[in-house]
Amino acid sequence: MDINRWNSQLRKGVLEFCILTILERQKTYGYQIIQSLSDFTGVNIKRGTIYALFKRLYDEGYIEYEWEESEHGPPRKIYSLTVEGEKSLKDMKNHWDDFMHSIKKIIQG
Amino acid sequence: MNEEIYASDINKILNDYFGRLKAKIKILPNSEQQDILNEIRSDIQTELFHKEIDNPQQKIELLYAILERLGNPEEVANEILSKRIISFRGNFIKRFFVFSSQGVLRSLLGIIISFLSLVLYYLGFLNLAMAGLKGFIPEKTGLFISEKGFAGYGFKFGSYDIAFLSTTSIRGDEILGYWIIPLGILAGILILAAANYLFLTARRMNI
Repeated sequence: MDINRWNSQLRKGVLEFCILTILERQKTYGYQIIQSLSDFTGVNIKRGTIYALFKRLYDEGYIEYEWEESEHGPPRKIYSLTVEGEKSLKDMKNHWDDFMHSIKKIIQG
Repeated sequence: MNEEIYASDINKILNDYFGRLKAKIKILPNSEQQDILNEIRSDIQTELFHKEIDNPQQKIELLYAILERLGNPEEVANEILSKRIISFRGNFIKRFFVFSSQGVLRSLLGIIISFLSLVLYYLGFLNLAMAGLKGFIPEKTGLFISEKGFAGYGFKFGSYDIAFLSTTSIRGDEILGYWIIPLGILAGILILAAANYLFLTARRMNI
């Protein structure tokens, strides 16, 4: 098995979950989210994928944004969670806990 | 290198990058194109400002490094378009183009679309020609039906048959009469418009 590929796919599979979790902590802009994701995943996620993901989460009503002027640098597109996004994130966390619990049980035998 | 040259170089590099990216995401609605371009530009500039570098040459090198990490405009556009297909709210034809413009389908699709456009252009002009020629050679222009059924749609010009869907030469009786004039004009315009739309959309998508 190609471990690197498996590892990369595993992390990409939870990207949405991670983006929503980052936004739950604080509203922030794309570059900061990408930096956090990069730190978390340790894999080079293509930026185009991330921008498309932002757009999809926005279209589906999980996140919203506003353009904010910055004192140091260009205006930033600041993302935040919507109420719908908060609800979905809560569900996702429950599923995640169940999933982790199941995997642990399988690993431990 | 002074500050002005530095700023102009940065802008030139960014404009070149975003010009190429914009050309590749033309299929998306204008507002969405602009939103994507603004967001990526903002993120690049934020990253550029984020690092405290005073040397203009190093700043330009940093910009090149950021763009390299971002990927070339074609890669970024492909990623955006291929992921956007899931939620893209354009019409069916646009969705089809967005989907098909990815990967290996591209060349094959180019051949099919070229062929389809040619057939449609031919059909469009054929209909217009029939509408025009009906006044001059009425018995040799129109929709022909023989005892075996459909026998041809077109016109006989001298010893030549110019027709669509006619396996042999045009034969049988013409059944449309002078209705071919308004019908031919209408069908011709609609078919040519469809051919043109198909051709131009494919061209915009660089297929």
